Amino acid sequence: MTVDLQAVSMAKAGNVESFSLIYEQVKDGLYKYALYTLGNSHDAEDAVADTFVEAFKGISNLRDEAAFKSWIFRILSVRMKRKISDIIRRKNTVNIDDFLGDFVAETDIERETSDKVVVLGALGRLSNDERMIVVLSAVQGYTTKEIAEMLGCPQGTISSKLHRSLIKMRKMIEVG
Amino acid sequence: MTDFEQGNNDNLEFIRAKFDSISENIAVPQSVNASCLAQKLNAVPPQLTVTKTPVKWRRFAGVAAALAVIIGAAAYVNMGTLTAKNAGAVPISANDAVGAVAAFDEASAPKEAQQADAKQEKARIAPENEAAPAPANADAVPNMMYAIEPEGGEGELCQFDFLQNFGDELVAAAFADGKVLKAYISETEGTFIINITKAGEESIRKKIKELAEEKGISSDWYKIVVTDS
Repeated sequence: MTVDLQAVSMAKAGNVESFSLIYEQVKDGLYKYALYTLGNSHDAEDAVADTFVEAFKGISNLRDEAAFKSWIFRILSVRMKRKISDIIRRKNTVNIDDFLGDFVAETDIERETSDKVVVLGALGRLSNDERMIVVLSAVQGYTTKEIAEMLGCPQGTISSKLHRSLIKMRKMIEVG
Repeated sequence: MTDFEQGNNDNLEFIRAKFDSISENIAVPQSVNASCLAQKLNAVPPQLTVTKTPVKWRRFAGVAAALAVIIGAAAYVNMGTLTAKNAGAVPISANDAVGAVAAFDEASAPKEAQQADAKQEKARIAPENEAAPAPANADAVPNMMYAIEPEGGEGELCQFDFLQNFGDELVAAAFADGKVLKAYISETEGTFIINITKAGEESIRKKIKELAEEKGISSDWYKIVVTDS
């Protein structure tokens, strides 16, 4: 998916319609990223909505218009890290089963094939960072270099974490 | 491509395929549509940076305020010094001593008061002297109304003041003869006391009287005490 660069330029000048247009082009990816990472639709919607407002306020500072997509994903990543911290603080500890249970209930995954439940169960058992890296790589198709820029980590760290996470997930899925 | 990269790619393709299969039916809610979220933008507060005063101007204002405080403090201290100087010129004449307002009128300050101030002597009003009889020639002895007392109190030798007020000729002549033992102002009596020896009593009395008349000084304002030695 490519983003309209002319619309990005107009959005930088404060044009709300142009900003809405380019947002619509990345909206689905943002929401899926948030949903897979946070595990429930409520928090995912909040995170995406906050990202929309924050991105509009800060788009005048965007230097490379072609980097709009990775830039707005970076904003969402930061938002989700805060949100995950809030969830942990709220619950004191993260119960993976509850986390997954919310997700399944919200999306009615349990009525889908068992394959979906297994994949989401494996995803839910990854750490927060690992989950974000896997979603950005496997769902959104970003390279390790782009993910490193979004999450503010060295590329080597992202590569090794992605490698371990993929192996872990595959084993869990294959075991069922 | 290394084995590591090959294995990584295989795992990635495997996971990606799984996600593709489960992501098809995920519906994006209406609440994240741009049309809904655009309403939130109206509630975004304007950027405060537009109304902020630049840092350099804030620094300049701070320095200016500090200078104003320093200049004001210096002016206040200077004003206080001037007031103190004026206060030091408090007149000791009877006419001027009635009000502190006269302290600011240098023209009204008598010469004697300025001299006393110059010699850093403590001047004060002797209440008992206010009731003293008026001299025959008040203008000639203006400070006869007051006892100018050096540090030490009543009875101290007031040779300097005596010389100042009675005339150099009188006392210089008396002391030259060796017949004046001491001369001082009596605070209780309000007169000058001239202590002389008996040996030269007659001659010194005569000389003092002549000089006093010449200077226009009443005999009420001095007293000759004879001491046998």
